[in-house]
Amino acid sequence: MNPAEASSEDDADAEYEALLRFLYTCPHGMAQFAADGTVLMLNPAFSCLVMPLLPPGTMFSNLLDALAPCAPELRRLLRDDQPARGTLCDGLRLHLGPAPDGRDPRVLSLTVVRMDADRHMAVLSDISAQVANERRLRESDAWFAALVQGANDYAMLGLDPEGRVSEWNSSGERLFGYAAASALGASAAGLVTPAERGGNSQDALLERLAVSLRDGWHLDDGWRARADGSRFWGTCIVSALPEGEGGSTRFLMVVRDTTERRSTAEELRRALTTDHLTGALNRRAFFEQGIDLVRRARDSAGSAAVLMVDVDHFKRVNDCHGHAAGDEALRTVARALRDALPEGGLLCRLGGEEFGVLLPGADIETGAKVAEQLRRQVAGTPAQKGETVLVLTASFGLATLTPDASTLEKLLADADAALYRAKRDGRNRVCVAGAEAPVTRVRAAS
Amino acid sequence: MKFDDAALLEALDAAPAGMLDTLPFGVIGLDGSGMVEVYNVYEATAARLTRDRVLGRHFFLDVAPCMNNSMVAERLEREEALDSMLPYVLTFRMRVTPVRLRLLRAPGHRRRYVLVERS
Repeated sequence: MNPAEASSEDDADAEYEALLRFLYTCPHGMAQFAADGTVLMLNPAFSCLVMPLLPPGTMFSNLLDALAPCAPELRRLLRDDQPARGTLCDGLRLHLGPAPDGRDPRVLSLTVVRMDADRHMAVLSDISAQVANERRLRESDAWFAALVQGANDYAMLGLDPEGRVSEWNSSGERLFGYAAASALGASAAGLVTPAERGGNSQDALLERLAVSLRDGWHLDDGWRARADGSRFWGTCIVSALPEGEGGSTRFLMVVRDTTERRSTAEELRRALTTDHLTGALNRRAFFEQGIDLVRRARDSAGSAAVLMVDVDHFKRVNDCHGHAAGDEALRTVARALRDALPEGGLLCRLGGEEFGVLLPGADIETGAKVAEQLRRQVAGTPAQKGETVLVLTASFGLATLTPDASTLEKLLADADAALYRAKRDGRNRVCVAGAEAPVTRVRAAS
Repeated sequence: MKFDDAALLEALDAAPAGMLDTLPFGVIGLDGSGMVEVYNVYEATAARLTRDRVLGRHFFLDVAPCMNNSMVAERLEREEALDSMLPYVLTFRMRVTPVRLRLLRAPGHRRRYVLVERS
């Protein structure tokens, strides 16, 4: 071998080694695999990303077996009916779930390119930090949007590294009611983390400062305390400021009074669960509560009763006195029913002139007694619309939980059948499912 | 000298030059900051890397980042007295290669070792 050959061979060796080193140290995982998932080649980063996914003691030899549990679509993507060559997936996110040590949930990104039927290249990267950053960015966007949208009031204050108030201005005085003299130097814990039962509010504050140092900011919603002892619901954001001249970190805290938004949420909840005309619960809430009631009663071998209520001759009220009088009649009946309802009872408007009543804990005797009270209350509460006074009555069907009627559906059907009998037998009366004789025999009012 | 000999750390430290190259398993010796001081022929052949190009480099950052994790690098850094064997997968020349690793570190010994045996 002449020297020139030897040197070119050395060069080729050195180049091959440089190429290996390039692949050994690449921070992204790269692998080549066959159509059935068998790994043909891979770099160390790929193996490092995949190894934690394998059950202990399992040898990593098949890419599909290793990744399919967190990427179920992968097998379909690799089937023959997919493109013969080209990109099969690009940046497919594999959500591995929460990290055991409390760090950000782990997310991998997978790209697969098919070269031919039996050769695929895969690139795998850990994008957990990126995904977590995206989430924080979205949250901070939401925060800043919220900041400029109507808050009742806000306060801005400065904190030292121990969480003591170092800057206090009129906004803080306005919101919390403390003068600067008493606020400065005191821990902000007393303002933003009123001591929970058994909790240490100073520790909670320091933890927030630590989080804002790590992430840049910390955001939470909760109760805040004023100087006069009253509380308000507020959003609190803490952000770490760049180090000051002394080299110590300072924190900026903004507290917004969002009590109004909270009551808006309460209004929304009410709008979703109540009937706007009568203020009784709506159908959706009735079925939710009813299912819950039956389940609780069954679980505890307790009792429960359901009443179906129908306003008598309601069509006549509407036809003779108009819809406005009809509406007033419904409001009056609802009020009468609510007034006579025992503690824990729930009144719902099921539609038209029909109401439903849920009676937790009521057996057949109690249920019949309550129904009779309700009937009398309705009959004794006339509706008034302008000059017109309307005497109203209603018919009642009662059903209680029994081994034969152990679902809400069956209870409602039984109560409905009893109501039908009450109507047929002359109205303004209570009939009980399974009992022939009505509870009340009263001449129906016209 | 065998892969699972007891008191292997002392034997490796005392081994004359050239002796480590006759061993049938990989020997990587690191100084306290993780720089490669020992890289025997077996290991160089398996990884297909030249010893001279590996010596003096940071092992976990520059040579074998696949071991820069809680199972290997962090344990060697954290535990002052360590003699532990674990199954592992390396990717010598981009092929899946199941191995057994043995991690050695002891107080009073400046050098730490990662030993690699193909299983």
